Amino acid sequence: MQHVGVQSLLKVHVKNKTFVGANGAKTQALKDASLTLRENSFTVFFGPSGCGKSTLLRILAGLDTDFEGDLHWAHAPKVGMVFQEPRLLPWRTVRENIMLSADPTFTEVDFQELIEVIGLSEMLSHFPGELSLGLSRRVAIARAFASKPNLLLLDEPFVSLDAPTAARLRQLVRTLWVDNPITAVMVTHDMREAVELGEEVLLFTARPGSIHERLQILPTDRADEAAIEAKRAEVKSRYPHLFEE
Amino acid sequence: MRYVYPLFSILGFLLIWTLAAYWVADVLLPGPVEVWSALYREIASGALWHHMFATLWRVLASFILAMVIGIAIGLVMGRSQLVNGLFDSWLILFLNIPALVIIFLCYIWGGLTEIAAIIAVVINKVPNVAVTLREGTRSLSVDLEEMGQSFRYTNLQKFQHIILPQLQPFIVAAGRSGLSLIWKIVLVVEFIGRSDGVGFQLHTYFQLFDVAGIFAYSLAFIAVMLLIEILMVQPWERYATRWRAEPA
Repeated sequence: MQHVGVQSLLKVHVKNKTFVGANGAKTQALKDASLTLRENSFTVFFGPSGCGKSTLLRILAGLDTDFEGDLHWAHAPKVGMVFQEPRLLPWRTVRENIMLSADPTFTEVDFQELIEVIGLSEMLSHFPGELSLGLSRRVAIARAFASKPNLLLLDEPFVSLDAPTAARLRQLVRTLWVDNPITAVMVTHDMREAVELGEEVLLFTARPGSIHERLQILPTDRADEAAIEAKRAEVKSRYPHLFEE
Repeated sequence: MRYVYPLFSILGFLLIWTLAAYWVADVLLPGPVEVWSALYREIASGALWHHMFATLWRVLASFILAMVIGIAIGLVMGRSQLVNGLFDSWLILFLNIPALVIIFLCYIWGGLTEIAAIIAVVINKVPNVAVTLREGTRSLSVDLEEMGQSFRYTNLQKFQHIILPQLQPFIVAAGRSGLSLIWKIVLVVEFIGRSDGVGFQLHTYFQLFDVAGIFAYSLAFIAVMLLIEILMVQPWERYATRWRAEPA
């Protein structure tokens, strides 16, 4: 039986994920972390540094397979990743960087549309070294969408941007997510960002990381700046130990 | 000003050379004029082109072979700790076998043939390329590799767009030192066991104690290698590094 809208894309349980350092010291990054991703949902991993939220994202991305636990995909995911650093190919132009990752069904018309929305029209023949961090991030986001993912993974994609640029890019990601059938997961340590984008926010405890609480974010919670701020303050007063500011 | 200093430098060199030849006044140290007339004689008779092309062909063939084989070995050794552990000592061995020994052995086992000559040059050069490319491979970015993996780049795309551009400076370095090493070894190979090529001609003039002839062939060949550097290596390098911001 499939129920449209409540179908889950992924059930994951990570029993144990341990890193072994260069000196042999072991650090447990994740302990009994489990979650379910609904199709076309937007989930946010929130928590202090070192709580294993990026590690879990890398496990979802298939970049880290060395852990105890299991992943159950409803169907094979097609991952579009936006890394913390843009990770563009410095020796390829903006256009080439985007098109190299593009899905075979991604046409020139789709490309022009995406570029228009993201605002990169003037930059297509530039090399990444000539771009600001904000522009590089936009290229990284464009690249992820061009790959036509059904699972979009964002690892602190707006970190170290000035506030207006970050706000614009958040709006951009939201627009693209609304317009496309995509399940999104974003890692952040900024609760305002989490409230603005997420439908569900998973609060991670500090190391060894596991999921402490699930918060549902309602459309009214992000109705305007004041609502977002109110929600942030409320969460902070309930879980002060998870905030770093 | 860019061309003035080198020009004066070259003129100064020619002047010192002329004065020294005049002062020594011996056929064993010919001046620029004698060398030029020896060069002219070789050009006019067609001998220079014949031997030059023979040598260039050997340089080109062994250069391409040595680069391709050396890059492949360097990539595998840089990527795999196991392979590196197994063959590292081989590499050190081959790096340190004297060029002359390799040449002798190739001629002894393969006969005085073209193939033996080229194999000898290739074996001399491959370890250098492999060592340089191994270092390059070890410095490849893990971040970009993960990026390629998560966007499902094909192996060809990974190689062409992620790996090769990062190895480019190492390939240029290996190629530069390779070209200068290879043409010197090719000359030795020709000297010992071929009946044409610049090395063979040098051998002939050495037996005649014709220093002007030796100079003429050396200078002609150096000029050709300079042209290759200026007309081929540098333009390619400029193209390959066009994405780097211009140095201020």
